Amino acid sequence: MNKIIISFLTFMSLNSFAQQKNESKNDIFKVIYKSSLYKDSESVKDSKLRDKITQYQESFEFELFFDKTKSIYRLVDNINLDDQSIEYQITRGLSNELYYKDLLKKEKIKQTTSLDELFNVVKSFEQYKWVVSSETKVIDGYTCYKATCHYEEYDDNRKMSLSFNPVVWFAPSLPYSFGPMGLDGLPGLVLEGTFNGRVYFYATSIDLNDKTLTKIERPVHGKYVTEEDFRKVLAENYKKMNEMR
Amino acid sequence: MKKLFFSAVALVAFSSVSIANTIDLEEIEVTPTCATQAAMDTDNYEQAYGCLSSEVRAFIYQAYLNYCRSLTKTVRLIEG
Repeated sequence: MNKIIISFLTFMSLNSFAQQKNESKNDIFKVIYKSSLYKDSESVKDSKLRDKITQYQESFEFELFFDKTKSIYRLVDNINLDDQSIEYQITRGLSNELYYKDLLKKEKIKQTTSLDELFNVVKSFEQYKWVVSSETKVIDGYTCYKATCHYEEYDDNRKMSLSFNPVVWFAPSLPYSFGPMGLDGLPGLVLEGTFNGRVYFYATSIDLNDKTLTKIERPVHGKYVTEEDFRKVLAENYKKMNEMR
Repeated sequence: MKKLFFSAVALVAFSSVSIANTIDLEEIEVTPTCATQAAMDTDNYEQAYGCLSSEVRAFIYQAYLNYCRSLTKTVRLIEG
């Protein structure tokens, strides 16, 4: 059933792609995303902290630029100088990550920092093994299908396995395999999604005629590392932080 | 009577020895270490934000650790 759904959606997206004959080769499109936290029924120890984090998260805006083969996703830089609380700085730091994807070179990069050093972590190109369902909903006029995924990650510091269940809604009528926060790899643009079931991102505007960027470029600044090497850097920095007086 | 007298003397004598060996401690403030505090704060943040990958958790821990170190007051036990 899953194969039938994926085949149907791939056909639909290819059909939409073929119909866009008037697009110029260098058209770059822009989607603005915002984010928030789900107020789920699970009890949170510190609801004041959750409300504060929600408030900060809701103050951010993100932009996804993409053409037929590349995308770049980043925080819109509007620093709040009035709030210098540690929670604001952390929430902003978590949101201030750049994602780059190149479909032709099969490359997916996440730009992040550790101990003030900038890293470009080369991620697995097919990071998520999505399972598409027949469940649909309309987002901003586009019919979207639900896709879910499950993966485990081992935390070396806490010596425990972590379980993640990303959920996204993607629009096959927008045949671009991109999305917010690296939630991509589907036969359609992701318009809404969550990577951890609590923080979610949603599109607020889709501009297929944006002229902000003329070119999408691979990140230049920062050290390129594999995921494994970055884990070693984190472990080393963790040790360094605890040894510092 | 004699037993009572000598018991009283012994009591006073031992009490004096005990008092003489006393060290006065003045405790100003005791707080968890920054590493412990940062770990606790990171746990609280994760509770609110949702499950964190080890990479994200490391970032948050580093931020809280730096923050704590910038605030920590010196705590000492003073011998009297």
